[in-house]
Amino acid sequence: MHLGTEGFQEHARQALKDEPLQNALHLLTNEFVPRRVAAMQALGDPEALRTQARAVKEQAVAQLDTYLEQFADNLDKLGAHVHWAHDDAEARDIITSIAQQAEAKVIVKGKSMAAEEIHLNPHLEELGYEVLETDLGEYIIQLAEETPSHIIAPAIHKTRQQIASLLHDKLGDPYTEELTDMTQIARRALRQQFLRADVGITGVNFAIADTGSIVLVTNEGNGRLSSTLPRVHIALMGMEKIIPRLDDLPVMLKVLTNSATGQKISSYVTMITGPRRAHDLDGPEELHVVVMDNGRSNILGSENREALYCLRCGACLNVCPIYQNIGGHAYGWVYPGPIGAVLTPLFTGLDTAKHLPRASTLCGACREACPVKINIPHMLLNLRRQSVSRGGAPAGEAPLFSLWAWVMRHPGLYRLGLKLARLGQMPFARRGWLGKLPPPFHSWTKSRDFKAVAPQSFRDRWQTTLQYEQPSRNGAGGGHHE
Amino acid sequence: MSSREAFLARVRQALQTGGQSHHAEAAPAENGEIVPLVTEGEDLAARLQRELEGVGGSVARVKHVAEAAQYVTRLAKEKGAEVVVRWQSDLLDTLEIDDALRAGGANVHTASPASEAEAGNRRQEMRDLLARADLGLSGVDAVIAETGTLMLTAQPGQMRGVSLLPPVHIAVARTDQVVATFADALRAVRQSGEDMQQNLTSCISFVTGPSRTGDIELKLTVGVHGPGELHLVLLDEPST
Ligand code: SF4
Repeated sequence: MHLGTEGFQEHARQALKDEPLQNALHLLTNEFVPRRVAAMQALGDPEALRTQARAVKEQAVAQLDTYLEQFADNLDKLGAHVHWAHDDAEARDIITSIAQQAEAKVIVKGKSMAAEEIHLNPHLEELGYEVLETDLGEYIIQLAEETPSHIIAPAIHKTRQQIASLLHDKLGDPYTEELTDMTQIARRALRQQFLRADVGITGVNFAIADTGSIVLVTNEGNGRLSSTLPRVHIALMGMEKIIPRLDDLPVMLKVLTNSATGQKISSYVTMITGPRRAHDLDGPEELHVVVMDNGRSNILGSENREALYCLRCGACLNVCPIYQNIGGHAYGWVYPGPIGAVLTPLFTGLDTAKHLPRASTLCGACREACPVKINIPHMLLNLRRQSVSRGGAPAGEAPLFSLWAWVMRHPGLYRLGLKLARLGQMPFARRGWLGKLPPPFHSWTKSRDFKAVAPQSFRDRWQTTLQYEQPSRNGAGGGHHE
Repeated sequence: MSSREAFLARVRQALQTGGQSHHAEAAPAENGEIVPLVTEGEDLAARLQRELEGVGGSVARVKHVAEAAQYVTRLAKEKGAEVVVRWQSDLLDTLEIDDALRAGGANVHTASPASEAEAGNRRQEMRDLLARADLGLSGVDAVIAETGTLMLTAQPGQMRGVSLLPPVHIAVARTDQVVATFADALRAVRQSGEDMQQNLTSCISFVTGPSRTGDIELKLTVGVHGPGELHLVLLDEPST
């Protein structure tokens, strides 16, 4: 199921009416956000940590060519194979030919957003391979023939009952809503596949230039199994996953797991340095690392370079008021939420994804939550500007804004306008909001409310009362920020 | 397929066009040192215990080897373990545990490295055993107090699957293997030899608690792929 990015507005509308989804999103907001906030607080100096983490990514990306070379040289020394994929088609071809050479039938996959990005599963399945997602959430999604809706919790939009029926229908086990039993059913089914699999495909969380190591961060252990049991391990990574030094790992790990799930560290951090060695009794015989560009060099050369610092932790999704209401699918491509609203147009083109950068209140919660301090609102504005300059704005918007600017420059006119608006809005305003504006302003209120004109303007209040009041000393009324 | 040169050329090109507008607030920390979660002078073993128990692992502090061996045997019996696979390591050897486990009714298999000629068969044999093992018994290369994390490298005899495939994993460590932070653990690896790639072995698993998932309604469930139980036996006095 590929929703497509053009239909954003319609998908968002449907999502708002989807009750199970709304419940799930509620859960997400109520669980993940406080967990992350508490976890970051427990780190002592979260701000210093974020500054450090950002510094690492800035350095890595600013000298990406050097670090990529170093990384590849180190992998060569280890006897691993490095492949370079310019775009998604190349990445798929590379992976297919490795699978062919391995005479693979069964392929197990650890969670990988990069693999989602290149639509790897459908491609491999079409070629006749049996491909199994092994992350429990991804597995559920695969059984349901859907796509993930959250970077960290892909099946967040499904209820326990829906999953229970799914396991029962697809695997034939007796129906149960007991979480432990459901988990064991999945464990047994997937373990069989792990033991049969010829090829394991995983993503990469960090690629360490100075050692040639790749690091996988998981909780379930599927990443470990996928990189240990099959004879061939393929690791697919966006080229920005590089960090310069092994010594950078502690800080990067800490911010990643804390931001993603509020854990000090995840259950399994697996650092793989080459294929198995002569004395090893397990581990893959062949290790292939596929380094993928797929539009990243365009981002690197643009004003939105910092989008490449993203660790895919999902923290910005959980705090976003838009994501909290519409969930991940409405965004129409693999990366949802605030960072998705940036990445999707950057990867797939602004023409089809022009609604996404507008789907933000620019409240800045994402930037505040981001472990590498990515200025998402700034990039959204960049993209909006670009979209408008390419004629992406609705017809009629430009003249209206010109009119607005002109009125703003004429105080007399402005005050007159306010008075008229105050009279005109009377029949429509509800508790200070307007649900519908008359033409030609109606398209503004199609998907949002408009703040009604206040009964008295600030200027009037200032002149009549405010200027005579004592400033309050206790700072009452100020919102408390984390 | 893109060649490495063509790929890197595009990256270089992009780096030149995209002038970066903002500067780093800081340079990356020199040796990866960041605010440690442990405080100066804190009892590391106690901290380790608290952290690991906090994520659902169990920790048993024991005074001598015999006690450690007893603990492991009792646990194996409790779990009704029939097949046990263990690392080959000096510490585990000193426990002299194989006979005790066998007396308790378990088959014990040691992942000792094989000669090159036999390695292929050996791998298959160990894999089959691990696929049906009830219990995996390992040592550790270090234990990290601030997060309750076991560091397991792939030195000869230290098979990865032992801590991964069986439903129960028991690890035995000496208190002098406890380090404060992740960075300390990496430092220990660095100090073990000249060649860093050699030191890192093919795989280091950092294990913190049992395998867990929150993929169904964000509710925590253990044992989805890796072991559902993790026990650490912490030996206070290494035998001499
Ligand atoms: S933009 Fe920041 S918060 Fe959002 S997923 Fe990426 S790293 Fe996490």
